[in-house]
Amino acid sequence: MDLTPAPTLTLHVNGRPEEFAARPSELLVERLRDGLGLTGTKVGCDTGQCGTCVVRLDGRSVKSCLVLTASAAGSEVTTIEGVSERGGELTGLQEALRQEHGTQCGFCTPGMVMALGELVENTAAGTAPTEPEIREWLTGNLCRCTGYHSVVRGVQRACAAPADPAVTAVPAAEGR
Amino acid sequence: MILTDFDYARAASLEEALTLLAGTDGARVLAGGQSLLPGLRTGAEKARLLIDVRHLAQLRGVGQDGGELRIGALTTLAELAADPLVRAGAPELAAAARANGDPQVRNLGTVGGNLAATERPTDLPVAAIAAGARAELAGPGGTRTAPAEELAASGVPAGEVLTALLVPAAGAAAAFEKTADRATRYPVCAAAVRITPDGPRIAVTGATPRALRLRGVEDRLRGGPYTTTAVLAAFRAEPRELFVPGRGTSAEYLGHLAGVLTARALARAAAHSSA
Repeated sequence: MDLTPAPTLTLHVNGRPEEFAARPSELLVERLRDGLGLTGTKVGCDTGQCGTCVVRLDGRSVKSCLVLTASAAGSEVTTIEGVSERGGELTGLQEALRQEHGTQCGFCTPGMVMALGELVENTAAGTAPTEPEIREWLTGNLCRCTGYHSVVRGVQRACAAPADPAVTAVPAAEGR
Repeated sequence: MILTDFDYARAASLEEALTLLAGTDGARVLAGGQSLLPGLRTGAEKARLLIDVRHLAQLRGVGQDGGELRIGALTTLAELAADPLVRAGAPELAAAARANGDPQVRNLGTVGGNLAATERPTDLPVAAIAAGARAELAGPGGTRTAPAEELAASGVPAGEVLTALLVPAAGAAAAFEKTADRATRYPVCAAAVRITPDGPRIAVTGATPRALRLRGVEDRLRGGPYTTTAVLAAFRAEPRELFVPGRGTSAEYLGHLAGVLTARALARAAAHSSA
């Protein structure tokens, strides 16, 4: 089969334009990890079931092993490296997950944060999703340490953030 | 990593997609890719060229014209599940969309891709059949419509592209029920019902070789009442060969499950129809 030469594509990743050539069958997760070195996005199952490769594509959470790089060209992609506007600082959701011990081995955590970010952003201020809503939203994220309870509490804490000084103002010395 | 190689072309228009489809052996239409891409990886699907239509905005969105909903084939499952027109006029479709996959798959997976998938049973075909929906298909000779039942039986014909689903917006007397495989979220069995003035329309998938309208069950239940006992009896009267044993499931189990899910769906639909 004569494949067309790899065309030059543009992807806006974490706010920066990236130009590169990609073969037609390249998956977005391969570009992010192998091409751009953004290894915070993990590969677990590689068949769209485990959710550890979740990123935001034009604002929506998607599994980056189920997207062709070529089909994403021209889009905005946010990975776990890009969630914090101020580099290195945790977002409210990440801080709430940390406080509730919502990570165990940590392998599923980047995908969880990227998936749950969409849920938290779409939750009206001053309200929190119910536990069944949070668990339903986590259908696509597998944690084989089975640490879901603490993740659910973390989301509820994150949604309660404005009324919870423990989330918004963490003493610098705490837990370091 | 996908172990086979293929060409990729992003179609700038529906016409270009149809031209590419007609001119290339082994060309496949790529929409959300949520079943096609894993299929290509496992080898269950083959393609020499993927024609990407995902960016064709005119094939996306829901509108209502009189008593009919027009659902663009590129409307995502997340959009379908949340759409107020669909929730009011075709609640079985909204529920089937929500039952699909997980939030990330629903964010990219499309109505067209779900209806056209052939490798695994999906959730929308039964809802479309119960709703009495028609598929709009574009081909080299123009545009035509086909009943959802025909689409479920024979798939999207070669050279044609599914462009929309046309659904009678008949109100709330409809429901969808599903027992999902725990690992994959595909239906072990799913049932959709819509109660019409002519009687109930009932469709089942997962337990059967494909999404099927069960006219025998409908005839036995015409006039009601839709008690669980009556529905289970109506399913027991179906030939056992209708239900195809799967992983860890017998034909007897699947026939019973299909009856239980249908009874639940009818009870909910009937409650809405008398309200």
